[in-house]
Amino acid sequence: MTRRSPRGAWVAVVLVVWLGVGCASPEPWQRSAFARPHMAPDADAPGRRLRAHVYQSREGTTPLDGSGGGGCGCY
Amino acid sequence: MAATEPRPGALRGRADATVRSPAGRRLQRRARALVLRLAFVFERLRVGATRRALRQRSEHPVRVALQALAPRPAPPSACLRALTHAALALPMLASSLVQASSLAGESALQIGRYQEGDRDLYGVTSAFDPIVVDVLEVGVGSTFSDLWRFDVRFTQDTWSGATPVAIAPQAMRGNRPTSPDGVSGATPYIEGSLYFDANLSVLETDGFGNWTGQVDDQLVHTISSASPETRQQFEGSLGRDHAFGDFEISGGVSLEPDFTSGFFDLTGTLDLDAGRTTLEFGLGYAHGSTDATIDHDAVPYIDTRSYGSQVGYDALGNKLVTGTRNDFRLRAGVVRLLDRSTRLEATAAYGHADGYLANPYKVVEVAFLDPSQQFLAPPGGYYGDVHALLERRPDARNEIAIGGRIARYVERSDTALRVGYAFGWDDWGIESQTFDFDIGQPIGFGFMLSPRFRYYTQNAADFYSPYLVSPQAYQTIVFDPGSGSVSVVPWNPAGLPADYTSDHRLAGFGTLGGGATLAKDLGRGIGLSLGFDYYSRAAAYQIGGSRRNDFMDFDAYTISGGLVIDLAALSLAGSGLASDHASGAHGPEHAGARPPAGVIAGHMLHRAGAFMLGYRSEYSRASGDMLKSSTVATTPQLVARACAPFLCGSAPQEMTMSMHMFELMFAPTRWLNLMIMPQYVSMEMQLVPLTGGPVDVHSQHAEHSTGGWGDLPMIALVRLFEVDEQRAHLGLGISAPTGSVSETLRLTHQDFQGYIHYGMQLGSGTWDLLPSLTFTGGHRRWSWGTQLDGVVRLEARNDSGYALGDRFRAQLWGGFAITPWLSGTLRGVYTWQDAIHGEYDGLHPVGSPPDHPSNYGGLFWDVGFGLRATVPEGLLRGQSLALEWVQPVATHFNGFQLERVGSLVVDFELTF
Repeated sequence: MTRRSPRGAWVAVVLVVWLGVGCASPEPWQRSAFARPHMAPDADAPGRRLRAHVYQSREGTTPLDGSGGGGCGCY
Repeated sequence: MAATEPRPGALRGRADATVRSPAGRRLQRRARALVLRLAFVFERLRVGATRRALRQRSEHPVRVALQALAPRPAPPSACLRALTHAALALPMLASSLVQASSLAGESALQIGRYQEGDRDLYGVTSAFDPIVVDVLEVGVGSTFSDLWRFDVRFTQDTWSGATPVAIAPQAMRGNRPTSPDGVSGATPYIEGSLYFDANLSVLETDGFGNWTGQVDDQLVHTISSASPETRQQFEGSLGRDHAFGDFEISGGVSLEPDFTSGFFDLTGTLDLDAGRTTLEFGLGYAHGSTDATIDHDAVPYIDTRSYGSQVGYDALGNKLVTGTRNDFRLRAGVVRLLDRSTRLEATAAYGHADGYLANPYKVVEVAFLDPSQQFLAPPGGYYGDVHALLERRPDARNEIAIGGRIARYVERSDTALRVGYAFGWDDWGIESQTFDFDIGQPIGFGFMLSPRFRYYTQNAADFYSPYLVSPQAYQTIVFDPGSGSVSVVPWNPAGLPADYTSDHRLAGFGTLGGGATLAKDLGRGIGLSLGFDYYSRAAAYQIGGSRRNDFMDFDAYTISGGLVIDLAALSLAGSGLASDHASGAHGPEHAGARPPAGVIAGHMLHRAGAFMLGYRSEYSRASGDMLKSSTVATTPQLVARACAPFLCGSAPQEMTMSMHMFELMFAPTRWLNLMIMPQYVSMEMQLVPLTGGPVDVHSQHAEHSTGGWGDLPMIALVRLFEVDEQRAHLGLGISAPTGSVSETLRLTHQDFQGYIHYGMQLGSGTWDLLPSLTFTGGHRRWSWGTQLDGVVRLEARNDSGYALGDRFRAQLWGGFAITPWLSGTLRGVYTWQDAIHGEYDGLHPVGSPPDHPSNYGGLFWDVGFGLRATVPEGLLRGQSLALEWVQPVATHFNGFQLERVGSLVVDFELTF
């Protein structure tokens, strides 16, 4: 089976981060958008945990945000 | 930007450079906290002219302050900018990738159900219901001392239903298709025969298992039934904000009958460039122990040689697979603000696992081409003797995942857009890609709609195979002419791959998922949400996938509902939190004025329009001797009389019951309160065989468990009188039969065993009347109360043919306020519970005392020792947390029952 090289993904991530650093970042008083509740990184945290548990029990890889707990998921 | 604006980065840099000593740092943190508070107060004052705006603010104070500091037509003052800068020095840019696994610092209640659809068994109808998982999550989180935060969380999953145990060619007919009606309901076949042509293509078989000559390469899952099980997870975290970021340590345990794990995580963030960039890190470790009992029906048919050293037997002779595993996880990420409305996140993670990584309930079908059996083969083909081998996986696994996410705010439509992508690969050969997209869109009236979409694809593990063919005999009988002995030589592992699995999760497939959450902001830091997600797995969705795997396709949906309370916002928004109990019309109540934790509907709200949210958890345990009335029953008594007219073959050794009750109380007027109390219950029982008794189903299945939503009590409380601190109220309630009374023993037996014990059903199954009369009083530091209450069954039988007995209870308690915030309580309880009327109208075993309806109820005397703490000041002022241990004093059982140990009750109430 032909495998996709991970190198491309690494390059993409590094490129995006590099571009991000290069952008003109907002001053503190220009960041009101990030204070909106629907822009919060943890918006709907309980729902996200529930969905992550479903994915972890039904898919073969550990999610990027996977951590301890979650049980066996042997069913 | 105006040229005269200060440079916040320079300001912060000076502060960091000049404060080096620990005392100085403390002063700096306190100063920052003070400035933050000032920012909030400033904002409150500024917007105070518009009361409507105040009522609508429910976000965290930091967010509130930030919203107020959004770009405005007039340039902000220097003071405002300085306050803004101080507030923004706090870390708040942690990425969603890290936040998803950490505890969020807010109190939440969530219920959810995951329900799968039927699997395609190609002409066979499975009698097993698809798998269903009920999830309950309760968490309490808050901040203290300005910089510290904590969370404790409890999660419980209860699942049951059909699950694939293996994959086999359809021609093997593992799902019992030889039954005349084509309905599968009994134990699946995991051993059998296969016929191959010269190319090892599987040949079709008829209804009697004979080959027809046509090639049939259709694969199918062999479906078994997962025994109902409950998993409980307890976790907690402690976090602290620093000038340069934050730090959090969290940990917990996950407990289920066959798997136990403990875990902890360290996470932290580091703010750079005045908060424009945040670095994140995470370190996690988990240790898990598998102790899986192989279904006794399947024991003779599962070859466990692959894990021979880890297979043993318990005291009852059940075959066990044991093992331990360790999981390490490292995460690192960066969050960068690209512009005023765009946030970029990038995360990389490395995971390593070692130990027993296999699934103890999955087998791989292996067709052994025994040369001595080839006389059964079709012309030019082969005959395969199929056996089920416990799957075998590598002892170690290394995973790497990288991903990114962009979140952008569209000011014109007040929309948040998020797009994420993750790529993962491991040394098992699995590569996966995940793409997700979601939107957060306010739709007015405090509602937020958040639709989402997710796509996932993975290829198969290197050692995945739906089934195997091995050119050797499964076992060979060898006769030694010299010694005259006969020995059995099993299959040679060299004739099989080192590792093998047919677990559908390690196959190649893709999934599509979509859903939405509708959230309602009720104000004052309280929010409700309702979510729905559809999830579809298909071989066709895999990038480069094969439709040969489409037999594993299934779909599922998840529904969830949640309540989130931000205690900080609740308090700081001036909601009047605790305004009822702490400053009601009758003045402040001290901690002892409230009933003990175990008293339900023991008090009323004193202010019209007040709400109360309560959470009550009760854990009861029975263990020790079997009693006949109040004396220890002998084994011969139990065998001969406890199941009369039958003989008892087993008896309970231990039983535990957990109940999680959620109380929602509303006071439309001062004299009338309305309550509704949904509850989630779970029970477990262990049984032991009785010497001299017959062998029954309980002798082989020593553990039972059930769990799910119980009945739904709804109560109206009417105030009768109130003189100073002396109060009385009448309760009139009804209990709706929402709890199941049709829980059965596991279906995968040689024979269907019918209903489980009466006491392990989840509800009464009948509409019940709940009358009560309560009197409470107090004087200075003393308080007292009494309550008479009962349960009257309004129906003679439920849908399963019986009715629980009525109950009457009388209780008297007293309390003394040790301090203004802590009181001790002492409670005496008398309970009369009638026996069960009627009996199951369907098949049920009568092999142990709990199977007999006469062995329920009795007379009980209990004493409760309790503590109640009421928060006197600060964020949670007036809210109370109570504990009570209820100790049995005297017991007079009806019939034969297991000795009671006691109950622990925890009660938390939040009034606003």
